[in-house]
Amino acid sequence: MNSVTRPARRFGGLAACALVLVLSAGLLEPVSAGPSLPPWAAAIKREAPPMPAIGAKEFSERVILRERSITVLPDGTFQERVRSASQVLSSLSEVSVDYFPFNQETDITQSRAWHLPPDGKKVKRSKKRDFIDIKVGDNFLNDAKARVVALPDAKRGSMMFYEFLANQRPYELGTYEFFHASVPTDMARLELTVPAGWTVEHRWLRAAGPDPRIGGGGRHYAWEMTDLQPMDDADMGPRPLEESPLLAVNVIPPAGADTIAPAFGDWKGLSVWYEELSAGMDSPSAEISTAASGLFADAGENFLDRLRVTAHFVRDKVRYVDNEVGIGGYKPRPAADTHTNLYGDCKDMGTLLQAMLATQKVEAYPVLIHATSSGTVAEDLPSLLAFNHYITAVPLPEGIEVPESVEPAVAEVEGRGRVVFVDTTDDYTSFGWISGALAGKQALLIDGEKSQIVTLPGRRPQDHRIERELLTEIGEDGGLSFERTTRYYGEHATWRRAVQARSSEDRRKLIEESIKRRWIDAGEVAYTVEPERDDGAYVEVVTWTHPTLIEAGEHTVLPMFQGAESLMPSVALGRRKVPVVYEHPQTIHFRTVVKGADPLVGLPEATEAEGDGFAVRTSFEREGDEIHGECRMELSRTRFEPDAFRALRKIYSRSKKAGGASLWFD
Amino acid sequence: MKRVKIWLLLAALCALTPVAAKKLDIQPGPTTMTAEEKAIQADPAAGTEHGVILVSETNWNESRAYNEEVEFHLRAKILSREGLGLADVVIPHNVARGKILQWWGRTILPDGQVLELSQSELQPSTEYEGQSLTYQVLKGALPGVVPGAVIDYGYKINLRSDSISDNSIPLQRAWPVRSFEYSWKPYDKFPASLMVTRGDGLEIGTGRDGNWMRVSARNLPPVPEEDYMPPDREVRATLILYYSSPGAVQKPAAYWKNVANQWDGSVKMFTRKKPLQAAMQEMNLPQEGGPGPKLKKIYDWLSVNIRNDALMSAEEREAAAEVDEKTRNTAAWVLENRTASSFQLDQLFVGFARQVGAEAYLVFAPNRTRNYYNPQYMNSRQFSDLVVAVKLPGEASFTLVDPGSSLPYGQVPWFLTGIDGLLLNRKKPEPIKIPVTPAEQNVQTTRGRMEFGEDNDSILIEWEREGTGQAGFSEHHYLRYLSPKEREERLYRLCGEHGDFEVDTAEAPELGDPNEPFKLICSGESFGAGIGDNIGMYSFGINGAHIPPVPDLIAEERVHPVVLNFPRIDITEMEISAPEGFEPTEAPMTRNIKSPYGDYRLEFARTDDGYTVKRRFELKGLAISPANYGTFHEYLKEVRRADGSAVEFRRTAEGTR
Repeated sequence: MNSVTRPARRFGGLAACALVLVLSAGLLEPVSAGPSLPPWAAAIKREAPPMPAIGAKEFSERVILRERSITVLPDGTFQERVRSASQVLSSLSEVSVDYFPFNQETDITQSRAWHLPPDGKKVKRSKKRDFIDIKVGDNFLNDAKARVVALPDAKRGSMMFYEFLANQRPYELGTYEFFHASVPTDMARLELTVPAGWTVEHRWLRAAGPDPRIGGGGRHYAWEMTDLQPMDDADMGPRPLEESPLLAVNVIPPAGADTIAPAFGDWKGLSVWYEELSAGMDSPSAEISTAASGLFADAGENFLDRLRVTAHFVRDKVRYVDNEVGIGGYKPRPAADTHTNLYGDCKDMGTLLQAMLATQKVEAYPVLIHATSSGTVAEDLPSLLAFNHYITAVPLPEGIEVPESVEPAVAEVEGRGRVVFVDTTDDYTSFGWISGALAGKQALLIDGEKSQIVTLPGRRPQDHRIERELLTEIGEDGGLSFERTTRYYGEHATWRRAVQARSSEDRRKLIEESIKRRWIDAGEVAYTVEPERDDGAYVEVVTWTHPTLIEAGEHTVLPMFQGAESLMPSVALGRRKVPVVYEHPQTIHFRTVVKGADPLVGLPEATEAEGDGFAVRTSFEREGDEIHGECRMELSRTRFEPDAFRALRKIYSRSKKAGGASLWFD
Repeated sequence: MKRVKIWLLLAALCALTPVAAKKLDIQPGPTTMTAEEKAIQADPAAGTEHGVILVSETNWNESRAYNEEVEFHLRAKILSREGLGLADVVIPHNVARGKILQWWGRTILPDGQVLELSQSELQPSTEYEGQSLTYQVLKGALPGVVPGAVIDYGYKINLRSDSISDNSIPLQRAWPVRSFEYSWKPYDKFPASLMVTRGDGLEIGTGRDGNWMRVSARNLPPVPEEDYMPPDREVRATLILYYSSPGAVQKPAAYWKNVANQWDGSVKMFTRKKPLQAAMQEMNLPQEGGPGPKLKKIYDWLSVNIRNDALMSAEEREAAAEVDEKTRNTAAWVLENRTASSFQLDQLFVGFARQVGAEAYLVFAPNRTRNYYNPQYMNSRQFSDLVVAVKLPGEASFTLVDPGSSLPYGQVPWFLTGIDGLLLNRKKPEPIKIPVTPAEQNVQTTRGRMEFGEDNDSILIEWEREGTGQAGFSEHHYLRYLSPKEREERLYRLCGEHGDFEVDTAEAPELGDPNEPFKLICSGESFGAGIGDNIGMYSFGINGAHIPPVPDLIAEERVHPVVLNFPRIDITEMEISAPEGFEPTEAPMTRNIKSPYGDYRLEFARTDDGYTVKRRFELKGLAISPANYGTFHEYLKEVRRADGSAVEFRRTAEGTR
């Protein structure tokens, strides 16, 4: 999918690249006489806050103003003006960089920049050659670009002013604005002016924001936020951009207005637009029909088996190549082309799946979702900008029994009953499961009048789980033999399957070395892997031997749930100021059998603990000459604010204690 | 005659098979899969998992300004889904200033069907565009590709390029390369050379015919990646195409002599007698003992009195940048202003050394984490640093020093040691071994204690660490370089902060002075001690962040040599107090491990309320060959086993609940 959103205004890689290119072009020239700052910049200069004292700085500059101003013309064209003013804080800075994101539907009419050195005497104005347009994103083909300017000779106290003017032909009459600061920002503002008779709707997403100032007879709107501070990008923390307030705005023309882009009054309207845009693209060719028939025949009579093999056919046969130029960012290519070429992007793959299923009289619908950000959907303010990914929903026939291995991807949808969601773009997630990136997100199911915002499933602890069985045999000579079978499901499977696919040898070595690190004298480690079972499990079986138990002082020990402590990630909390976020809920379930243990060896203490969003339980029992142990940890809560760190520390402590249970031998 | 000589030279240098060096006749590959291609299967253990490059052919003619010509052909077999990306074709040349003269691209499916990607289906992608420069590449996706298919594509393109640059192409990859052919016709206004590094024993040939140079390689085995391996350039066969300055001599000996001449000349220009002699008056040099003690005094004086700009802390850099001062590249200016670059300090020291009667030269040193010195590669960019070699009258060999580095006299930074540098003696430039600092001079000592918190719920650990020589050298300067926030993060990490260990104190008190040894002060609390009410015995592992990490080499076999940073000795002494309600049992046995790579000793003593632990770990040597890896691996394994030791505590009668 294509999106013309406005994320953070500073980005390192691009800035660095731009720096090299712009510097090589030769740069600013002093203006011959007199102050030449534009009035808006001169006003900012007069009111600029005092410079902080000299010293090493966390941020090399601060933004005094970041303003985006849109005037909507009667035909729906966006006349856009972006202004920013920043001040260099570090003596080590040599350049200051800014940029303006755009696409092929944008005509940039003016790009200007001014540098006011700290002595305030000579303003340097940019030249045309100072600007460079750079492709943005790692898509194979797209039209997302940024116009970048780098002002050289920056000094501590230098003030930089940038202004971009552009006419944009939007794909919809609406916009998103991130009130995000990657450096301290005194003021950020979005201004919107609409023609007389138009209305404006807005919603704040992710965090509360101010109401707009409205003027000009109800035609001018301005949303302002002050003193925005950057947030730490901490390990296991939320992404700073996703914590920032996000403003969604739609403009609605009066009935009958002829505009170049649609205005979406509700989600159904957006769905209709999409259905019209993609009409006919899912028409099946004879080859598609033949392929689908063959797959259905091979899969047998079970409906879900048929779905699985078809979804996996698309996932495994079609390679991901995205072409997101212009409306091609939204409009899928014909399913027949995708089937022949065996490449395409998410919407092409999803459309092919729908075409294949249609030949077998199975209904399937597009679902638009945001694969990389959360909190982008306003339930009552439709926008294409809420999404950047396409998956498929397949309603399940009534009465069909859904096995445990498909449940994680099934949700009840109003007016549709149970629906299974399928992401054919995700190479490593099995049919019946939802990746951590999509689980629980809101999405738009496109189905004519029944179109609606739905919430994806996959947010139960059992939807992302690790099941490990360890069989340990203690020989008469005290030697040990181990057989460890681990089944990973959901995101745990997705992640490991991806690692294994990149290099099966590296994965094997990683597992073998992890065994040998713990069991220093381990003999040969045998490793087998089954990357994808029909139930979606990624299964690894490891066997090894070790001549003795592990020494611990005068005793020897046998850990019952080895590795449990490392499977539940933890992070230091003492200095932390940002929440701890787990991508998804999870379950870790260990079952251990020890054969041949001395009958006198004591069993570890059983434990049970529960907290807000967490439960851990261990139990041990003797059955004949076998000792059985079980450890189950469930994390249903995924976000811990700083005031919940005490509870989180308790979780860490309880998990460690439970996972550390051992048998002690004299 | 000259042509033959160069050809012979190239062949001898690379110890490679000569090949006919004409421009390659690049043509599309066959539209059918050969039997050999059909037979190729994935073999992950042999490095063949996702695909095999069957043919890679390039003709690069940049002999004419503004009129380059590039021909390229790639044929590959796809073996997995991960390998499908090979079919996403990017022609990485600026077509905005060029013209495609020929293109073919096809997929040969396992059933023999051939799918074509026509030139008209290639799409332009503008990577950047400015007033004076637009860079646009062409992209296309080969259709119908599945694992088992062979892809074959190629192109011929004319380019209006106005720049030339050196090029380094790894010939060996993580996967096997069946055939690699590269012909290059360089721009004829500059001397150009081609060389292959680490090609010994491989099927690689080089040759030259007229202005065309060529490399031909067959059946190159994959080169795996391993921890602690030498830099890439030193383990993979790599093709280097490079230009020299106009008029540069094209024989290594003469080339390096010329370089040495230039650098020695710059030292002479820099170090005029008068300012040096004036400074020496200030130094209070010892009159006894000859030039040796004088040199050491000068070395120390430079460390203390002349700021090395390269070692400034973030705060110092910030303050220095505020001063808009014009600098002059003379000893007089440096000595007056007391600030210098590393290079100026090296030159100064050479000047002073010569003043006191020593023989002294600059030495070019490569950073061995990136590459080693190769005399055949006539390019000074292979060096990253300069140090100084001094020899006192009557001495047989040079002493290598790095003035202003903060290291003691006779030591240079570890990443320059253990390999050859180039002695910039204008009369006789020659390789010089840069010695490794012995372990005894690189000692980090850690002392601290561990005790249990309230209700035995946590373990409190505090320790202090100090390093000498190379131990802590890099860390000390890296911490100074970081911004205050980055520095704090780094210090907490060094103190072992993680989910189970909350660090309360993480300080490096001597960071203000670059010449002070590295010192680290840490304290923190480990949660989840796991002492339940019903536990009668408690075992406690001694490992943690207070014990400097031992190289984590678990694999039992090795392809590449192991290269360590520097030999070292770690000394750790910890006092461990018993948890409340517990008492120590018996001290574990002392562990002694002896090996050619160092000795290890772990000693326990029972005290009234716990134990003391003394650990000494020695790591000698710098590079361990694969043949000797087994012994080294065994040593590390035994050390890991010993470091896994635990002390035991028994619940006392009073402690029973």
